[in-house]
Amino acid sequence: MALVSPAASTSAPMKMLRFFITPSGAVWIAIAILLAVAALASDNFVSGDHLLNVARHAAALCIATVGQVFVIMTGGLDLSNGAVITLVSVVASQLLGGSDQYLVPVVLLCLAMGAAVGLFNGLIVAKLGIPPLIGTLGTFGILKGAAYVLTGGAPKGGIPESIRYVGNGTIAGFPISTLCALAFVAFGAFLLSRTIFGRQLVFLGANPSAARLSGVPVARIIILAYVFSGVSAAFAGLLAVGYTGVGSLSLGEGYNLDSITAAVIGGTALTGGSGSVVGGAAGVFFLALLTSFLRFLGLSYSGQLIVQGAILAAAVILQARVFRR
Amino acid sequence: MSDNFLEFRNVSKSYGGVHALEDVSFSVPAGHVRALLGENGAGKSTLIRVLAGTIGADRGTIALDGVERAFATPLEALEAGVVTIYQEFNLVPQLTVAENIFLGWLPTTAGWIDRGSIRARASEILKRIGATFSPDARVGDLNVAGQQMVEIAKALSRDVKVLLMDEPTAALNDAEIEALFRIIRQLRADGVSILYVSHRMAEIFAIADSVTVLKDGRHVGTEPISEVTTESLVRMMIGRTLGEFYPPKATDFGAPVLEIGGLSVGKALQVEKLVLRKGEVLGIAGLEGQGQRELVQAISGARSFEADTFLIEGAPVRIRSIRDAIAAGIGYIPDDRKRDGLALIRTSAENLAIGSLARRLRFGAVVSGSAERRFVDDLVAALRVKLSGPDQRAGDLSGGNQQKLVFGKVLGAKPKILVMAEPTRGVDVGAKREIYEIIRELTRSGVGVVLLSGELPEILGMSDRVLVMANGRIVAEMTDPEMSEEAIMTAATAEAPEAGVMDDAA
Repeated sequence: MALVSPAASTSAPMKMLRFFITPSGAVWIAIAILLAVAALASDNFVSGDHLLNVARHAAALCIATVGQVFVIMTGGLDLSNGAVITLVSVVASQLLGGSDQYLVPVVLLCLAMGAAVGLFNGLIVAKLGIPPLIGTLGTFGILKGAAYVLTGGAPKGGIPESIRYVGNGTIAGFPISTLCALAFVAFGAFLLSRTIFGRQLVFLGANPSAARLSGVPVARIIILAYVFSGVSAAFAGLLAVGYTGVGSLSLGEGYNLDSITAAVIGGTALTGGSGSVVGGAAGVFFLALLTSFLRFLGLSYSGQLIVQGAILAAAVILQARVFRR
Repeated sequence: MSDNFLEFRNVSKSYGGVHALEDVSFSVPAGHVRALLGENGAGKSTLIRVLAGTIGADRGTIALDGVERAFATPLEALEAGVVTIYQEFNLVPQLTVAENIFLGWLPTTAGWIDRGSIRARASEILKRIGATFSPDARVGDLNVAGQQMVEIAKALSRDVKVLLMDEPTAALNDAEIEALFRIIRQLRADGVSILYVSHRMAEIFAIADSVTVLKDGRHVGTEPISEVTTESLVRMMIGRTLGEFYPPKATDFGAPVLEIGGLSVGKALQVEKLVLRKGEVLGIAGLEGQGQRELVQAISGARSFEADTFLIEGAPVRIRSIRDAIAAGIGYIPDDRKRDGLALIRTSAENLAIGSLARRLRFGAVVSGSAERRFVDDLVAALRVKLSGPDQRAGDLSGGNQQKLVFGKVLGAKPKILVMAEPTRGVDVGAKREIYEIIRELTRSGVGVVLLSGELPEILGMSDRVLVMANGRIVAEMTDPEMSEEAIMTAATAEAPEAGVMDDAA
């Protein structure tokens, strides 16, 4: 029972210490432990070059995860983001044909496609009351099918140098894609915690009924969250295809579950209303680091999947058991 | 059976450094109704949890019929005949009444659930407590009073020796409370020891044989009911006298702030005319489920309705949603603060600010941090919310402080009209008094208040004028000299059909 204590004076170190035992703080401890273990196992794993490489690999997933966090915060899920990534990669590849001639309109078209997919997801969830799991799974199927139809099963064309530079290049040694991801994380964190849209989104995720009675336009905010996730996925798709250099029907595979896993590891509760964008980004970095380390240890892809699944389960259990009362 | 069937012997429990219970000893005879009183935080809930087996005591023991028992789990308590009915129901809305009653120990025949026997036994229990709904009704379709009866039926389906009831009448109207009291008296005659937790003094004097008061985790005293008065009990609970419980009423009113004509919500509500003046508290009374909820929900935009005229300060407005109502200056305090009032996992500051972000605290699309801090600090100070800081989670506050947050959230939008349903439900005596003061401060500043309450003393103590509803209509209007519990109940029952337990509007 808390009683009056005017202007609760908590010292900065205490605040920091407390942060690490919250759901969004725990992931940083996990990263530190993983780095420590890796440093013991190998001399060159924990090096600047290698870590930057890991961060570059993680950039696209990081951007998709920012959108995923928004949707999960509403109490929803977006299973369609990977299919958006695939679709964007083949559309960009086919329309650009390796040339910069239509760069701006095609990039805008890709982002608009992401927004349209998000709008569709948002409408069926918020207006028709379809469970997000089913609704976005349906969208996932439709988009995957559409990508096959558009390419006839074999993507043509190519990605021009400009996009490849963003996906692959570096500025002063830093991968541009990683810088893009960091900027996007900062933008997402600001949007979620400082804007009216973000604050209303968080509140409605925690209690939709109380939000409605407080005058929050619940359906509109939920729809916007899915639109944001769709645009994030499109942006992630452009970065991913810039990295590989060619549109691919399998490019977006796994992004949906990976982004959910990263969000949850980063402390976002699947029940909605609680979580953090920065935590989600840390979750992505943790996953990327873990994958890289497991590969370094010589674990097969299937082995990696098992470890990743176990960690997701552990994160959910930790949230449910330790952090909730 | 002994004279001291249920005994608490030096029971202590602390959380961190806080003593929730300290050396509490008292006993309850068999066939006896003991009221358990105390402010929120006095240790009642902890005592209930220890007895029900959901938490263990640090020291001390509980004895049943002279035998020391320690219930490690709720199931052990149940098997020993200690049944608890919590304020928050433990029902499965999707299942039928009969299934809920026997949930956890459904009678079976060769492994198959014996539906016939469940129905028959459920019917019998329902008849015994005077419930009018069918054992096949879905619990989710019942209103709160109906669900409460299912909880009681659940308790009775077991071989109950000690019955704990935590605020059992919070959601019941007077007729249903009378029915509940009949059941309690019958159980007492059967030799059950009953521990009855309530904030309502009138009830305690009506049903209890004796009363035990807790304060700050300690046993203050146990007295026969004939030896105490409301005054003396309040003094035991809070350590001081409350004086006049309700603040003085308004003496003069302003112009009408709200005028509604020809209001209807389907068949549930037909109101020809309703006028609310500035500075007035308009009480809405009646038996449970006579259209009162529909009325307050319609006015506050939470439910769609038809109206011929809807004027605020004389100007016509169109209310089609909560957002319209808020924009028109109507604030709504819903009766279930956990479900409809607060996001319990978010901070107090976020809860206070949510309704005003888009209207008062914006800087373009961004929330102005400094404006928000000032806004929150002002509300916390004005409503005297007890917080460790604005970042304290709403769910960690006591009921009274949570309710103050709900008030603060709504008041932050500076409403001209405040519609409230059961504003002091589950709130302790001290906070109740503070909420009444807040309501009167608002009316002094010209706000018009619509007060729906099932507690007649609250209606009488707070209202400047009372509308009595029955069968979806306003059947009587009374002001102070003529308004009394008798007058209201007479009006409420004159035209009403039998008390509707089924809530067809769901």
